[in-house]
Amino acid sequence: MKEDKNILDKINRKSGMTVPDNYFADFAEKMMQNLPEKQEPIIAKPPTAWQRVRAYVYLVAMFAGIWCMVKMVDLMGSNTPGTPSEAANSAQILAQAIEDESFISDYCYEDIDEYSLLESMYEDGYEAGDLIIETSY
Amino acid sequence: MKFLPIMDKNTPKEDLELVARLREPSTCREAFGDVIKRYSETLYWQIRRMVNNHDDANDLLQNTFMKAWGAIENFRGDAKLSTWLHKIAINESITFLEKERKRLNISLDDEESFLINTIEADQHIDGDELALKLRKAIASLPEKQRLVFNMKYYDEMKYEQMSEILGTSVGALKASYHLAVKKIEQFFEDND
Repeated sequence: MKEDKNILDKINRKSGMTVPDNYFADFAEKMMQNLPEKQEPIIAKPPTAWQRVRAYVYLVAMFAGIWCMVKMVDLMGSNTPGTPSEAANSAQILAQAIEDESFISDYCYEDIDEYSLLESMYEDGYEAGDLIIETSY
Repeated sequence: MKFLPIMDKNTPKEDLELVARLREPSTCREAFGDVIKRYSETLYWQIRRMVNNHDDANDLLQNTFMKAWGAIENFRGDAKLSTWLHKIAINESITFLEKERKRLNISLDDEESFLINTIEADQHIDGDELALKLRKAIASLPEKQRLVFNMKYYDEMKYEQMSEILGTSVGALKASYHLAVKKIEQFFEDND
């Protein structure tokens, strides 16, 4: 190793190979001449206000549309018969009708006969003449 | 916004300024001219010692700078400028040698005689016999050892920078250099 180190030390590191005269100065000059021009980077135009907010507007419109659809479905659902709220409402009307006696007499006594009806009218103060309808031809 | 290069503390101040100028479109071209002036000689010798021929070294040096110019926007500045350029130069040299091996149908075993023939055919030599013998000894080394030996012996590069360039650990580089020196010693003994 020591002997080898001596061999390497004996050799001039800069010797052995040569280059043509003035090679490095000429090289730099030629290299610069042959160097292609760099293209200017394309600077993107700044976005307009609409381009900046467009995405947000679309997003808001989408959510508004979804909200409208949900609301519409809800409204349509509340008018459909058979829902629990509708059933409760019908039961209440029916209860009020049953409590009203005239409603029962007007709408439910279908099998009353003519005699009973006249008797009832006499009791109420109607006269027989009142029931004659005058017609003229 | 101005680019602030992030480099290690050992980065020369000139390199920091140069990289900052390279990042400015208005000064980029002029700064690259300074890069060529500063690094062309070092890179040339690194390539020349690999390919052993002036004309090929000249072509490869041009390719190295062309590639560097083409990719200058991608240079992030977190490595030394010299390290980046050395990497490009080494890749160019290795690729060239591989292409030559394929073109001339030379196996790895025959590479030594191919390189020695190239050295003997080289027109640009100074006639120093001992130096010529050392070149032949280096040509007998495997490619990686040849690279490591050249970088350490001729360029006096630190193992840490070699490690960054070659992507090999410092320990492996030291072992590689040690082996290369042993083989060169053996070559001198055998060809005494």
